[in-house]
Amino acid sequence: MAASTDFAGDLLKLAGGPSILGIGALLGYARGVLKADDRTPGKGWLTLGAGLLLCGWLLVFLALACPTVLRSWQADGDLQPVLVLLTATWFVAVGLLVAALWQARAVARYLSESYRQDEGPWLVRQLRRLIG
Amino acid sequence: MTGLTDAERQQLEQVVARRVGARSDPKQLVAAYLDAMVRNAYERTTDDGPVPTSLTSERSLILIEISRQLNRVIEDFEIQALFRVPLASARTMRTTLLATYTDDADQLTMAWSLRGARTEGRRKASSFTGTVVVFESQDRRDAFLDNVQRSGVAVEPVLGEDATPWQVIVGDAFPKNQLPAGK
Repeated sequence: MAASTDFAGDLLKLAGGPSILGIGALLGYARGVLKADDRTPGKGWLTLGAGLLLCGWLLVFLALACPTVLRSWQADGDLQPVLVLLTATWFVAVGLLVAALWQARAVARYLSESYRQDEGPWLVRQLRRLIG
Repeated sequence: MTGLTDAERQQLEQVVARRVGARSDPKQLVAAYLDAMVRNAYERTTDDGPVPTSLTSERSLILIEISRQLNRVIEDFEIQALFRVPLASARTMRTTLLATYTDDADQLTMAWSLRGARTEGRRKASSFTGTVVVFESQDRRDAFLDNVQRSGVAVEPVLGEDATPWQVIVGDAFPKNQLPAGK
């Protein structure tokens, strides 16, 4: 169990500090871009890139933390605060991933609207087909 | 019998240049003016249509010819420079010109309204997303709005910043080759 709590501590260190600030900055930027009336291709691509980066990072964290979180639910003995914190962080990460995927359509629409209807690179034309 | 001598034409260009300053190309304006006078003389005699009976309509006939040569509606200050009339009279002449020659007016008004305009990216309007066009003045923006609305293309005026207050968002059905260049 000691090994699990140590690993859980490492995972929390990975998720905490600069990562939280980075995620916060990415989310804040994406939120600002998607809420604005302006449609700037550069901002759209940056938001898409940031979203992919965020999803990638969250998937890595969820995959790494999943075994420890699942084991902690079945373990006996005293409640370990670090495992409780990791479980809470894990659920927050799931929530963030769902929220990021939920915004994918909005990002696709933003990118599509950043170009004239008859213009845009290959990826934008594919996105138009997807969102209709 | 000859037209203007080189010296006379040069003098005419100098006078017009002094009056219009840097706002317009005096050589182009004088060339359009002289061509328009020749065409006016030809059409006045050979045309089957109604003959202008007032000074304003007579001048409108010359002004539409100048506008056709310039491929845009002549500016008020250019009318002032050529005809030596006050601004109010120049404006009246331009209004009469647009009302009288409606066939040419749409195309020429569009060219006039987009003079000095520029595109400034894309923006979401209330019901569509389109290109932002920034105009030099309220007159030009209103002329553009009126023209585009009549053509059925989505267009919406928007409040710009203090330095560039006259803006519209025009839908993607508006031909791209007619849009002005970006900044």
